[in-house]
Amino acid sequence: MGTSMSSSLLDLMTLKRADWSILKEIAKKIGEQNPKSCFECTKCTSGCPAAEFLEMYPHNIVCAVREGLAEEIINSDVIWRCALCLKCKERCPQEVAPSDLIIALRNIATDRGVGVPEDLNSVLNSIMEIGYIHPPMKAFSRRLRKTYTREELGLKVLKGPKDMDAFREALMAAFEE
Amino acid sequence: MGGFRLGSDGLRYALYLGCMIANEEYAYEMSTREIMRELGVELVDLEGESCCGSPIRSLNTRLWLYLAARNLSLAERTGLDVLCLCSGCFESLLEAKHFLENNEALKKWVNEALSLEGLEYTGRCEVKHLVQVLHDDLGVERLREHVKKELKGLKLASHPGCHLLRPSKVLRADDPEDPRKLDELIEASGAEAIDYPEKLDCCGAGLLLMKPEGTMSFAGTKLKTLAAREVDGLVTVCPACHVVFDKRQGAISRQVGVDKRIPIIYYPQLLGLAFGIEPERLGIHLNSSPVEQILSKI
Repeated sequence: MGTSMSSSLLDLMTLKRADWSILKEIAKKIGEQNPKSCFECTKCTSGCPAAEFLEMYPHNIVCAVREGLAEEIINSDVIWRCALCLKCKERCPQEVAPSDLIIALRNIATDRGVGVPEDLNSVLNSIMEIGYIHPPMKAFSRRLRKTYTREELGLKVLKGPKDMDAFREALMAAFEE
Repeated sequence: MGGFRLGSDGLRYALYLGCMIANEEYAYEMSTREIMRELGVELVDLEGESCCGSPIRSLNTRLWLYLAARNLSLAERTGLDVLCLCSGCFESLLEAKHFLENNEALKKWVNEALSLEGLEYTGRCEVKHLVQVLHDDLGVERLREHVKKELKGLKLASHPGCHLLRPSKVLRADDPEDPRKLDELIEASGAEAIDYPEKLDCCGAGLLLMKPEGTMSFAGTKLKTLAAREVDGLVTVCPACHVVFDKRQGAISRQVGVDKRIPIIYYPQLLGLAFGIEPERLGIHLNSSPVEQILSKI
């Protein structure tokens, strides 16, 4: 990582200097994110179905992070607007994996407790509680105006993890690493 | 490693359901069990399964990896390959396997956490999507042998969905830019699979928990283009895609100003109809979109 050029880069919104130390934090998250390899062909952006909701296009995000200007992005909700369709990861000729970079930035935002969507937190709590993202729901038949449980449809009742205490303990161990 | 296990009773797989099929999209499981019974494929339940981790990968990649690895290690105990019906789970389990295969330290770490649950991950089981099992392991010809009622005259659009295809270097399920397998499976039923330029378009389910108006826009665009075409229905192979297009179609279509409603059907429901299985046993009555239009045409 070069530092000699860093003094010239400035985030015009916050007047913060470029900070490349974030790249180390990003690299620690499990994924194939590699912003340094981007040569700005914009193939990721041209195929991005979420581009219309993004204040910054995928290649802009990659480039800003590469240049050490990740702070604003981590604090912004732009990282929570990707559907993870993975077209950018598939098509990038440099194997930058922009979607993995977005996941890494979301992870860092979560570590810092900034901007995490409420519904995602509920999903995490439910997994901790019962092993699934939500409890069994009744299926509704619009035609027959009836609701059904799994059993009523001839399906087995599911129990989830056998030992919930051990399951939670293992999850906590994974979380604290 | 790899390949299916041939027992005296034919093909066997460990069936991994995942959150959505286990807890809400029951028709997908019902119809899969029905067609597999007809095809002589044995499905072994994965006792103790949990979420694959995919929804919380955005919060913490280690939590994701742990959840994926624990389900893989449960599957390893059966000695069978895993059959995934949900493309989100399929992608999640295979990517986890990919990272664990290429990183010894990560594998050691995950096994330390797994030992708390009395589990161990070795990486020896294969993960397959329903489309692969039907298309590659069984083959279109074998499916055709069981067709009792050709679904002639039906024109259907396939929705392979993102996580069946990408990242292709890890999933290797079909051509990521020109997927054909689901179309060939549709044609095994006697129906016609139309080609359409929006085939690869995403349903937007990945935004449901953070920006649902994004989901509306993604799915709305696709439904709008389908409404403008001569198509009798959209065929799905993922509960997340299905929920968006089927359960939420009314709200989405109203939002984008589309009057026409499109029948959305799970592939095993369609194949089950061609096999002559009673619609109710395939959970057809649980679809919210106007699937009766499909029933009346066959």
